[in-house]
Amino acid sequence: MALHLDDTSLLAQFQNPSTKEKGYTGIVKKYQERLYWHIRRMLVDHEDTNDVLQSVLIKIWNGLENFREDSKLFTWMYRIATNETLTFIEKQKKRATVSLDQGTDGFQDKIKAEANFNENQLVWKLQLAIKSLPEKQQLVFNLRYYDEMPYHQMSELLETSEGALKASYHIAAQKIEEFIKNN
Amino acid sequence: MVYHLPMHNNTDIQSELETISPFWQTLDANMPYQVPAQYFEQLHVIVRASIEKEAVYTELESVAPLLNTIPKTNVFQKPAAKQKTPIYHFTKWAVAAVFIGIVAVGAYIFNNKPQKIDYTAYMNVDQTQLLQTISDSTLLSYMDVHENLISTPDISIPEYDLETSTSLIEQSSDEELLEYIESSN
Repeated sequence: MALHLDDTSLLAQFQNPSTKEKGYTGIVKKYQERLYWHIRRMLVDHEDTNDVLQSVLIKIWNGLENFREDSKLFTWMYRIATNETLTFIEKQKKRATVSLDQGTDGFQDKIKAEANFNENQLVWKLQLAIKSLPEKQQLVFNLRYYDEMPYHQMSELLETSEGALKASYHIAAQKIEEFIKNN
Repeated sequence: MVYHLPMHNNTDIQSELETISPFWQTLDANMPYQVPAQYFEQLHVIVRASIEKEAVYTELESVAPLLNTIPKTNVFQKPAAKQKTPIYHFTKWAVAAVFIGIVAVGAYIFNNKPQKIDYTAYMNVDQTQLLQTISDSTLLSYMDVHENLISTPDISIPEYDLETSTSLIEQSSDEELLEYIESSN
């Protein structure tokens, strides 16, 4: 696993014109995988994820000039990624409405179309179960379950109270359990 | 590449899940999705290229936005590899057709040229010799078939005037008679 500089050093490199690109590349390399999986869990499809992630990384490049360290770099980048992903899903929903397609079923179909999909494996059932949740609940569950994000950081990211996030997470976990047991 | 997240290290999160249900002890947090090989190694390069492309767009947008609405497709074309044109093909076949036509007309004219018959050859034929080469039976059968064509020549024997002849003999001298007899033989 590659060692990465801390966020402060990377930001300092980015602020210096002579090391700007080096600083940016360091930030991308450090966070690209976490951002990728944050988006992929929501969109399922790799190509869609790639499109959104590239858009996110370009926005990060454009926004880093004005980034003030009043929030954590990672939280700021996660917020951009979350907003871009939700915007993408909204666009897909509009397109699906026009083509009389069903959004949720569409994502579950995408999961079933994945390479190595096996409906008898618990890991795949879990993905189908997560996709049966409302989007905000999916986000909360993913951030807590996969990214192990503390509630206070999640609260900053999603601009929701910690109590509400905790309740949402517990409800999501119960729904998922029920889904898996019934399927 | 299958993505594997490490099992929960955060005991708070794990214990939180176990308070919800013991069911969560049976699950792990592995992601079963696959990522193309070398994707994360190349991503920052691709993104840098996209950023540069966007910078060019943004720069032009501030100077002459109309130009950004025009597609950047290349209108020029490389000259195509030299090909045999249809006209060339037509000319080739036309020349061949004319040549064949000339040959055909020439052959026709040559074959239909009026033949000069050399009648002198026939005239010089020795008919007696020719008749000798034909068998008698062939001649007879020819005469049988063409009986109507073969007519007996109308030979009229003049009536012999004995008195005139006698007087002529009497009037002739012996020398004259001898000369006649000799010439008759």
